[in-house]
Amino acid sequence: MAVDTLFIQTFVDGIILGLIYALAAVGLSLSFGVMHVINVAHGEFIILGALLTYIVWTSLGLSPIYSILLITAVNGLIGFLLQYYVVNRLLTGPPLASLVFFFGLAIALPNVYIILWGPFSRSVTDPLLSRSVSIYFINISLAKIVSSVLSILSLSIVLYLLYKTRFGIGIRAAVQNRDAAMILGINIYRLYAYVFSLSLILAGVAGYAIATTMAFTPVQGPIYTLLTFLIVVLGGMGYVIGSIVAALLIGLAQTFIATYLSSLYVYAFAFLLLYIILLISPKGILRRGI
Amino acid sequence: MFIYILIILTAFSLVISLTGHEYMIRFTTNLMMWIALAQSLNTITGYTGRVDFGHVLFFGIGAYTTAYMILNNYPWYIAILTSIAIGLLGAVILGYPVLRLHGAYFAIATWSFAEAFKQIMFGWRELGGSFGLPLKVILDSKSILYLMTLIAVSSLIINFLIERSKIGLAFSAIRNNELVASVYGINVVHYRVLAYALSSIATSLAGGAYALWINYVYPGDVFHGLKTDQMFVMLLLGGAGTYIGPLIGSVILTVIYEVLWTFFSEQLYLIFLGVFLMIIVVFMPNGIAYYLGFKTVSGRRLLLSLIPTRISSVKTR
Repeated sequence: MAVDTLFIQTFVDGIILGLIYALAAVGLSLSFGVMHVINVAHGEFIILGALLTYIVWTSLGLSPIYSILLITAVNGLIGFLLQYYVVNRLLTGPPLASLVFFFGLAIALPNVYIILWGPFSRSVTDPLLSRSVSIYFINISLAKIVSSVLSILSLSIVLYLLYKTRFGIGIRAAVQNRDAAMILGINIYRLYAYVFSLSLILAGVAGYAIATTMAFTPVQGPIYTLLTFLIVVLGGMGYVIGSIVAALLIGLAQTFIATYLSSLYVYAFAFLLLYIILLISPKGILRRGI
Repeated sequence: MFIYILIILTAFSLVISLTGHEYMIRFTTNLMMWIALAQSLNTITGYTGRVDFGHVLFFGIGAYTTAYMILNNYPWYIAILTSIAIGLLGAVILGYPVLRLHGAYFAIATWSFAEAFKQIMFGWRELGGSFGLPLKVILDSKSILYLMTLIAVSSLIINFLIERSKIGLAFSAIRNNELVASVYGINVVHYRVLAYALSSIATSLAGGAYALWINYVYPGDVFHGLKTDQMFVMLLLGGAGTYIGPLIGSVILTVIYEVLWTFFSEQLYLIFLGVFLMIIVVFMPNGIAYYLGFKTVSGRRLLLSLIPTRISSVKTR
């Protein structure tokens, strides 16, 4: 029997979706694993990346790929400033405050987007990026190829940073024992600011990938927050490689359910899965540190 | 004090309904609904200290149950009573597994379940799916106002009775330390589920009355996470753990909503809501009721439970 084309097409789409999710989830996983802060506004920063991509494409008339630079600058700066000037103080102050801060941000941000850019559903349909490439009956749009290459590149950079550089050693030291890392001369608060900045940049790049490969609305943030939570919980909180594996699994599951069953209940399945995993094993399936 | 509050609330809505001013009737109905919702979140979050991010679930269940019963030609009071029954059933079935979780895990689990349920309702064609269910007008605006006032008053009475009874003592013992509570012979599991079930009553009632009021139920509206967020801000602003707190919070926020919505836009109100939440918890964690001499639970302490413990230190390292 010949290999089923639909099956392979679904598989490839699933892997690409999984790579996009991996970007988003690794960001959340880092900020959770390093700072022990639950960023419930993560999805809102993904949407910010998508909106920036759209703005670069429409208002500036450039190819959407250039938006990566803008996303890196804007999300990175927001992340650094937020963590350095606000969240770090909240970490030393009342213990709850960081979560509530993000909770408030998650309520406020989508409405800032709506006021600035309107509540419409958007997608970036650049003529060059929507061109598709055929390999053995499988059609992949250029946008998907670009976003998966970007995703692999960004994930490799993160893994390299974490495991091969002094910066990464500092992060891992801070995860293992914050006080000892401080005694050994690591400026924890600046480190946190860099990590959060990295986390938001990853979210923004995921936003770029979402904007170029599917449609998005400014109020979709909570859906992506919950999906990334699902992936992070599935892969083990703060365990980067676990998150990547889980993201690929969730991406595959989502496309296979959408292709062979129904796309109606995809998110319902995902959120129920998160609920069930939390009930069974709140600390994640793969219980490991960073 | 408590009796006076009830009399003032009832008298206020009676006067408003006598004036017959449609805008004021709509405003008061909305106010009463939010009083009931904030009180109901108080029952689970204020008294037993579980931060529920998915409380809107019961609102939506109540609204959909009432809508379904109305469409099948049952009278409205039967429909609303069925809403309570279904809400209670849901609270007991869901409560047993989910209440085992603590802190942030409970919050995310309830949130994800409510979102999952919303997505299911979007796809459920027999119940209108993404088109929602339109209903015919059954009650006029004055009757809806009386109904909402009744619900608000009964939610206040439920919480007042909880505070003055042994149940309330058990709840606050559980909130302060579950282990110690169980040592003193409190059946922690049963009391937690009781709190969850009690908190579902006023929410599903308000949901049912909302369906009768708006005459249209739609998953994106009745299951909207923003409803939970608003209940939450009202509760923390007024002061959690006392019947007076959510009352103060909901009155203040409903008035602010009305002003901002009328003169600016709804988005500005929501931005304001988010910023307000950040400010409240950092600068005014005990809520307004605390400054009026009521014993409230510090919002800081409530949310302290949400901060994840350092996982690395839990493991054998």
